[in-house]
This record gives sequence, C-alpha cells and structure tokens, in this order.
Amino acid sequence: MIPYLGCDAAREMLQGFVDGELPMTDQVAVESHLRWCATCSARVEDTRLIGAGIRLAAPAQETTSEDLSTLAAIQSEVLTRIRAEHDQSLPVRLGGMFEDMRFLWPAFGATAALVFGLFTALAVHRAASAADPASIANMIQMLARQSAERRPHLQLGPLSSYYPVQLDALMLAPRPLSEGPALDSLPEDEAVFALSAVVTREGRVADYELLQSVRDGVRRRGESAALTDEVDAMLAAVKRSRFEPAQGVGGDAVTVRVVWLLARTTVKAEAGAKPLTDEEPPPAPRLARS
Amino acid sequence: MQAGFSGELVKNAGAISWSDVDTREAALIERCTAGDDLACAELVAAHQRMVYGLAFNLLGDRDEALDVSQEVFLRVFRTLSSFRGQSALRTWIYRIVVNQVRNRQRWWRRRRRSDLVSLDDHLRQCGDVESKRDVLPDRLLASKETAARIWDALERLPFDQRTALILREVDGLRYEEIAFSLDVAVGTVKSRLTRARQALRAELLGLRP
Repeated sequence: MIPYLGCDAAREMLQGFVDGELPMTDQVAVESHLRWCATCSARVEDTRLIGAGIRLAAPAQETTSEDLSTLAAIQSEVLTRIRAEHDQSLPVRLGGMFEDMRFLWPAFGATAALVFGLFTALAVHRAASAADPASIANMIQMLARQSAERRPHLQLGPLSSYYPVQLDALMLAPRPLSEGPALDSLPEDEAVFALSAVVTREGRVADYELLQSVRDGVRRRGESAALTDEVDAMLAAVKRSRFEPAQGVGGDAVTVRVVWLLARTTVKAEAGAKPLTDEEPPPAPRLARS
Repeated sequence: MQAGFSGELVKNAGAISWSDVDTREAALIERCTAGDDLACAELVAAHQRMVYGLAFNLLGDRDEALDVSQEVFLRVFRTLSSFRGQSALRTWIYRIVVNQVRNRQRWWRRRRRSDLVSLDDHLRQCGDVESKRDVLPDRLLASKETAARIWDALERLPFDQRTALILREVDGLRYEEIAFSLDVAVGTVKSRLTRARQALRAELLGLRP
C-alpha cells in the first residue's frame, strides 16, 4: 500500500527524489504524489532543468583536443617528477645499497671485526681497572670501609658537612694548605702508618683514626711510651691541619673520607759505597689517598 | 532540444560494482606506491579528465585548471601511501581537487570580493522563491544562452554550495561521496544543495518576461 503524501511532506523530499537518494518506499510515495500534484511536478521539472542547464553550460564540456594534449604533457611531467622523487626517497636509496651483494659480505665482516675489537678492548679495560686484592689502593679502600662501619654516627645525611663520600678518580682530592702545621713529627724510625680521616667541606679534619701502624722500634721493650707520644703528636698535627676541601665533578666542595698512608723509609748505603753528599738526606713522608 | 537536457549526461556513480573496483584499485595503488611507472600512468589516464573537468568547472579558467590538475596528481602520488581505502579512489581524488581549488579560490575571493553577491542579498532582490507558484517555462531553457545565465548565477554562489551542486549535477556524485569530498556531513550537503537550487530558481524566475 502506497502511503499518502501531502504537498508539505512531498516538498521536503523532492530534492532527494530528483537526486535518487530516497529510500524505495519514499520514492514510490513521491511518484504517487506527483501524479496528481501539478505544482510539485513543476518543481521537480524545474530542478531537473536547472541541472541540465548546468551540465550544458559547464566549461569542461568544451574541452578540446588541444586541452587534452596539453593535459597529457602536464601529466607526463608529473610522472617524471614523481619518478625522480621516488628514486630519491630513502627506502629506494637504502634498497640500492644492497643491490650489489659483493660489498655486503665484506661490510658484514668488517662490522663483525669492529664489534669483536670493541668487546675485547672493553674486557681488557675492565680487567685492568679491577683492583688487585693485594694492591695498596684496595687495602686503603678496605681500611676506609672498615673505619666507616665502625663510626656509623657520622652518617648524618647528605646535608651535613659530616657526611663523607667516597673519594674517586673524578674528584679533586683535598690538598693541605701551606699555613697548616707540617707533618714533621713523624718518628724517626722506619715506620708505616694508615690514618683515616674525614675532611669536611670547610677543610677541617672532623674525625680521624689510626688504622694501622708498623714500626721496627715497636718491638723494642721500653720504648712503647715514647712511641705513643710520637703517634699522638702526629695525630694532633693532622687534627690541626687545614685543607682545601675536596671538589666533586661539578666543582662543589664535598666532605670526603680519606685514608693516608704515611711511610718513613730509610735507605742505607752498602758498605764501601761512596755517599753522594755529606749529609744524609732527610726522610720524606709519602702520602697516599683513597 | 529538450532531449539534450535529460539526465543522460549525469554519470551514474553506482553503476560499477564497488567490490570489483576496490580490488582493482587496491592492486593499482599497491603498484603505484611500489614505483611502477605503468601503474602511475594508468592511474593518471583513468582520472585526468575527471580532475581537469572538475577543476575547470570550479575555476572557470582553462590555464588555472591545468595547473591545478598538475598539483592534484603530484599530491595524489605523494600521499597515495596514506590512502587507506576509506572511500573510492575517485572520491578521494575529488577531495584533493576540491581542496586545491578552494585554496585558489581563497586568493581569488580576496581579489574579487566586491563582485560576489551573497545569497541573502540575491534572494532579497528576487523575492521569496517559495511564495511564487510560477513554474519555469521550458522554453526559457531552450537555448544555450539561458544555460549560460544559469551558469553565471551558479558562479555567484558561495564556493561550498557551487561545488556541491557541480559535484552532484555534473559529476553525478552521491550525497555521501559529496560529503566526503567536501569533508562535511551528509545533512550539510543536502542543505547546501537546497539553498543553491533555490538561488538558481530565483534567478531563472527573474528571467520571465
């Protein structure tokens, strides 16, 4: 059954009817309406005539063979440009690199050799930089670790000047200032001392500890009191010393824990050897740090 | 003469099976993106008249239309890899044409602003179309001169209305395809077509003796 359609409703659908965009039921309903409504039929006819006029007057209807040949020339140019752009594109250039396989295997071998060399150099570097357990550096580090573990009260936090960090190769070690007391009170005998200390950001010695001492004269009875005095004097000199504080990578002053290894060595000439100078050269302490 | 104004000139966009076109187009696009020169030439040959025709109809200038055709195909090939089959290839190319022409029209509009007449002014001069019960006499369209006057009236319409009407009447696109080409909703296409046809009808009613 075809639904009845009034003029108002039909007028809303006339455009869709002319353009063939209505559903089938609406299309049939409008057709039925147009059979008896002359006004709507005339409107449909108007719309169709306007469309026909547009198609007739469209400039493109007058396209000439000359236009087409010009168009063909232009499109040929387009294809040439597109081909050139395509040839210059990255995927094509990468693909071209692998066209000649003669170069692929040498390149692959060279790359493998380079990678192998890099790994070998890295392994050698790691092996060389690993601390020998018997080395002085390792010993100093172990002593520093033991000293820090014995004094946990100094771990006060990063904002404290008493928070020591481990001194490493990238940092600038604290240097003694010239106006500070010299470490000239070392015992005269052959001796080695390991001294742990914390140098604050202000350049003061905040904490110190004698870690280890080896001395020939210790074994001699009756001299232990004198030895204690000498060590105390040395520690007092260290305590009074002033340093230029250690500097981190960014140049900021940092509090560091250092271990000094002080050694006094006496070189004795062999019998019959002629001394180079009349006076015996003064012994010089050696400082080691970690 | 009346026979010349029949709907035969309208290309029937739905006459081809879309599934067949999709398969064929997909293969063609794949070959083009792979750099196949023959495929590129085939794509150009299949669409160049359509591109040129639409550009010519929208711009009304032969040289401009040729320039736009070149730009359109350059853009087609540069962006073909991004085409995901969201529409038929033809509709996608229509969209590029419309955008290229719109860019040129913006420049033209700045130069010819004084020549343009708004639709409201136009309707005010011609009166309310709906109030007139007159029907266009067939004889008014029985000459090319009348068709030319229709085209002149069409050229005075806003770009979006004019484009929608040309895509519908000359290129035979369906509402959905026009909507994709203009990047608007289907309802917007319908309203633009309605307003454009009203304006042209008002123009033709003014031709009555």
